[in-house]
Amino acid sequence: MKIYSKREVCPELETVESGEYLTYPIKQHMGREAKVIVSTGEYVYCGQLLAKGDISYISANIHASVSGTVSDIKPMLTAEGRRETSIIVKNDGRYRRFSGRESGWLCTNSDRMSSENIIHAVYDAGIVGMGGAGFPTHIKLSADRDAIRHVIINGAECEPYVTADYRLMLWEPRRLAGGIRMLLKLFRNARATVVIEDNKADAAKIIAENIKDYDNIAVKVIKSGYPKGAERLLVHAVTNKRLAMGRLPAEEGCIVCNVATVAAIYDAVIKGEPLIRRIVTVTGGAVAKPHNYLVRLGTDIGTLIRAARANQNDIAKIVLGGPMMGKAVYSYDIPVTKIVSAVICMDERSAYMLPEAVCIRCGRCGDVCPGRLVPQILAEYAGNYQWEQFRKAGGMSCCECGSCTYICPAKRSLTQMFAAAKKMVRSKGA
Amino acid sequence: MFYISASPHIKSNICTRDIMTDVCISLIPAVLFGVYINGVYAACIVAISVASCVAAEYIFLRIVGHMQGVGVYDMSAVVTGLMLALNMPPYVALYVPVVGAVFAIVIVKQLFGGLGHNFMNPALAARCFLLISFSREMTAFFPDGISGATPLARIATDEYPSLAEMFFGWGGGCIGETSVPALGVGIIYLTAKKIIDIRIPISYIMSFTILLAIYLAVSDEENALYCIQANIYGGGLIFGAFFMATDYVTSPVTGAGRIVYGITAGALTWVFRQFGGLPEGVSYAIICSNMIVPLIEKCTVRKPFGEEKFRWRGNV
Repeated sequence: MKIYSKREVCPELETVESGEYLTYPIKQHMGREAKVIVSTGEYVYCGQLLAKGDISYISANIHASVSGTVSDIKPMLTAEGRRETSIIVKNDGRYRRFSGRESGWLCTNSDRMSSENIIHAVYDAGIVGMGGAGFPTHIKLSADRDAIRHVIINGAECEPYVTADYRLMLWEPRRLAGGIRMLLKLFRNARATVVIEDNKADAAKIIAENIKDYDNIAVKVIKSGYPKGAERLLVHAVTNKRLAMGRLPAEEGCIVCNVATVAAIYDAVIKGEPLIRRIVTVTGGAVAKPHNYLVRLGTDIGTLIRAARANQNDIAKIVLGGPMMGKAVYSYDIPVTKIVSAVICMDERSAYMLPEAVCIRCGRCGDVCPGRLVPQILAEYAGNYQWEQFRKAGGMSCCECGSCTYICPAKRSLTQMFAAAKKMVRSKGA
Repeated sequence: MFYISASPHIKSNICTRDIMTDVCISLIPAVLFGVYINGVYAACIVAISVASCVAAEYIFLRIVGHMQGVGVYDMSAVVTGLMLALNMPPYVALYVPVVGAVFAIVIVKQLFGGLGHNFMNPALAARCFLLISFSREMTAFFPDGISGATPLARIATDEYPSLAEMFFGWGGGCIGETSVPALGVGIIYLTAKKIIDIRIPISYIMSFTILLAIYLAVSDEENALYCIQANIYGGGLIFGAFFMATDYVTSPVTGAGRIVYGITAGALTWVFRQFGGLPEGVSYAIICSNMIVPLIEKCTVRKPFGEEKFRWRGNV
């Protein structure tokens, strides 16, 4: 499906001064929350561990991205709309780096590192899938490594407006290439494919130049369209295998990693740097010019919005992440976490939604559904609370990408209905 | 304060009203041609038909208190009115389209739940209703006093109008369905704007043509090629296949279902034209196909991605 949006990329990557207080929710990933290991009043350095993710569970470490004192540990609002226990650090503005590492994995000669060391480095750095799902990467990398044939690097970035991954590919292709080589070291039988949409041809060219010395890394340019960057569609694009909903790429011998994650793996393994910064796109109707910022995690989005010189009176809706799958938030105090790729400040015009009308059965929803479902029929079941029929019609395979809602001429909130219906089916089954 | 909503946060700018407007625009060439051929009286029929459809919808919605009649702004009543008018003989009495409009909007559309819920194409249902109820008025293809038959009816009596006459639509017939070039302009417009799914008309016309060709081959018809072309250009086949059968509400939402639906309608058209006593095979064929749409849909729902039994391309 084509989504019409202007795709502007600002020429350079800007940095933004972090605010006075930085907030670190202890759950920025899928799985369990990390365990707080600092206490109020303690001085922390930039890169110091604040909360430890239990390695035996699905969890991830959280690090400080500035130096300063822990001022409070209390529940704070997150992008998901929940109040999550968060560590608040008062920034002293000196960014003193943490040097004392207890584990001895830090090693400049990456060729000598064993697979276990690489994975431990990734775990230590607290890396999670930075495309939005936030699945801890060390768990992903611990799969049956010899069975993996394809390492798929997701540079599709199909969400409109968001250009963070695009900017990363243009900005640091070497770092990306280094991360890919690191992954290939883990997965000895695999080939790596960087998948890039054809609307980012310049990025594809730059990546291709940087990997031309390695014959087990390739760039695959795919036609642009939403949701081409979805995991199952990427696996299909590269291997021609079709994964049903709920099956993992590893079952078909694939590992899918976002480009930002791969770059973070490189930093973790080569430089010993934990994941404390990421690129965030700030754009939307209320922002005159889109910006890509290298942001320290924990910075509140209000700081970013001010840095982008957004007209705050114009902002009607703030979306964290892409406009198709991102979350709307209602406060400037939400911190940037590991999975926030964009802050979209929509103006009144783009935030306005036409009222829902009746379905005219045009079938456009079925045409655009990447899961080959017929949302029109599913909506009928969901609207009539027929959960069993909804499940039988394949409703649980809905990936909630939002394509049907986007295309619907009657402006029906189909995705939202399906998300609710899926929850109902699950609660009935439990 | 900020708006809060669940994702997605953007929607396309196409809405129901735009689609209906596009259908109206695509019918303009056919209307103009009909008026050019048949004179101002045809324009009156079109105007009266559209006006009474809109009025019927508005009044009905007001009476039942459905949002103060705002449903009328979605332009769907205008489409119904246009379709109905283009299906009228050019010299029909002016009260006939009014009766048809009320039947189409109130009985066929609104009583079944309004837009999106009618199981038959309102304009076609009204046309069939009028054909049965006002059979003399509905065959007023020529001005008073002159009796005559449409080209397709003339073929049945072994009289052969020229193909060019049928193709360009000089030969007489309903206001809007005779001229292939005029309809063609609208078809190109609808296809370019992706309003209609081309699979329906293609499978419709193909199945009709194939069945007709087989029949002609078996029955050793001398003018087989002429017959096939005359059957496609003449009557309401092109209009029916591209504008009537593709009506969203009464055609399947599944891709495979649309092909099945087209084939069914084509086959029924052939049956009605070949063996039926009445003219208007296209109208009855599409209406009958409308009836089995729920069944077709039920049988043609795809398996979700990754759960297909058959795959076009094997696994690598």
